[in-house]
Amino acid sequence: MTQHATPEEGANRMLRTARRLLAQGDAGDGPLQRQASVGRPVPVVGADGELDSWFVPVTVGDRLGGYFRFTAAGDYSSFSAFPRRGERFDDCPPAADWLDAGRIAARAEPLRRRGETAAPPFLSYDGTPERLAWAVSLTRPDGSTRVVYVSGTSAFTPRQDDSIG
Amino acid sequence: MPLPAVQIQRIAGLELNGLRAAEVLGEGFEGVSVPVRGTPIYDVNGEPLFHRLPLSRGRTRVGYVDIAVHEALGEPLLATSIGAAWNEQALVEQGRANAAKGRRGLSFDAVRFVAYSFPKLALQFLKNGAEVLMLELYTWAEVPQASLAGRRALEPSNFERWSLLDELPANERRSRAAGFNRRLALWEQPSLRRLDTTKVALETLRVRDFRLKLVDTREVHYSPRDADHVPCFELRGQHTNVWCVAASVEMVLNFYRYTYDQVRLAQELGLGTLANPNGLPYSRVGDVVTVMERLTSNALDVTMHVSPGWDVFRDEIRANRPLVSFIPGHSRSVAGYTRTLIALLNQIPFRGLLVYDPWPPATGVITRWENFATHTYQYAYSSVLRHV
Repeated sequence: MTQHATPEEGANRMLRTARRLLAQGDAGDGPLQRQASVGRPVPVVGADGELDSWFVPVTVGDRLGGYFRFTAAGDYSSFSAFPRRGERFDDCPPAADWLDAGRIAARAEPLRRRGETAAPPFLSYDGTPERLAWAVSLTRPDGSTRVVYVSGTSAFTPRQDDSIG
Repeated sequence: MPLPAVQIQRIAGLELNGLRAAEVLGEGFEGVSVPVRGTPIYDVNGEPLFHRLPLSRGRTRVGYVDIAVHEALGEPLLATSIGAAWNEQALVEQGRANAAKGRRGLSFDAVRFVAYSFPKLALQFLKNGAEVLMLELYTWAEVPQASLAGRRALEPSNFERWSLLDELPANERRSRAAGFNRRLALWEQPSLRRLDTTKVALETLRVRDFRLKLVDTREVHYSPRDADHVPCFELRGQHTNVWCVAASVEMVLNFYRYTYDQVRLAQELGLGTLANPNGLPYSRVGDVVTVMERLTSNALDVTMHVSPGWDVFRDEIRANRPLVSFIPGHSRSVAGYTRTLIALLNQIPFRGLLVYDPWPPATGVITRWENFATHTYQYAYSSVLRHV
């Protein structure tokens, strides 16, 4: 599912940092501190194949409450939280939308044209690293490829212009 | 007026404990001792600049801390290090040995440390108060005499002696002196008087319930009053993968109690329809201003900032006004900021933005905090309520 192997030591360091930030209240709030689990780091890879950063999911039950971003070097970068009401996490997206390769591949399936074969998805971004999305590379019968993206419940082809969107 | 040694030790202890409490200093500093006596370091003009105090753990020297004694340095804590031990006596002995090499007739009666090109250090050998030799520390190369000819103040060449105090502009000196004295006053609080500052420990300042303001943080609330305690900004996810501008504008307009959905905003901004959406071309970034003003009947006076600096975001948030912010290819809203107020010399304090990002589509996400130093901010849109 991922293109870059996770060096165990680096991954563990990110995990420890994420857990500490959460426990200390430097990232997330009380309900997240009390209920959340920190998942394994997932590499975020640019269209050029270069490692851009790391995505460390924070889940509560079957929901994705938020995520940490670490730099490619493994340094803490930011924490992002999905909106929710109080202690309830059911407004947050299902964790599987972001972490289950099968579900992500299935979301991309309607964008696959006849004769194209889909590679396993990898975590990437649409244009700018803030626009996190899973990328699915589709190979045409003539060997040429194109990429489609899945971000949560949204599956789309990348825009061709340089607009702001 | 020169500071007595015990006061220098106390300032060093308080500064280090403050940084340790904030965890700016790591575990390597836990339990180290701060001595009374340090090494005075002089400016080239002869005035004392700072003291270098060796830090130790038990009998082992483990590092040092530089504490300013001249107010022109701006803050008491200049630098600290664990790993580079400071041994004044050994350095003087090395300096003497190197001074004797090839200088048979050299005679001196005093040796002192000089910041010959701040913060680069040298040993100055004196006879009856007059310099007879100056050797750069560690390289033991002879430091040439000063010469201002052919250069402007504060622009010395690579290996040149110059006086920080003499070359610092007067207005800069005044400003730094004010900061230095504010900092000293902070450590004069009565609650700190009985504190043991001879050791560095995580809990030293925490257990005294000392509230050192380490960060300046603010986010948009119901009003600009400090007493308001409930943040007042709502995240909107973008309805399509290219409607981040519509979603960002929606968030800011919602803050001002204007309710326009993204379909309508997309129509106004020329972003197509739900079935056939498009992004905002760069040639039309000014449309955000006209659309926001039109949709509020000019109650909002909107300004577009090109390449906005930190102050634009900080000042708007302080005035309790959220912003729309464009980074390359994407738009978000900004509703808060944080910045550290304490940092070591040569370290850039952290500055972060509270970003309400409409991405991922449909949900959006709140990032607390986005490192301002690592992002490119192309445009920002501030809005001032003129009339209702």
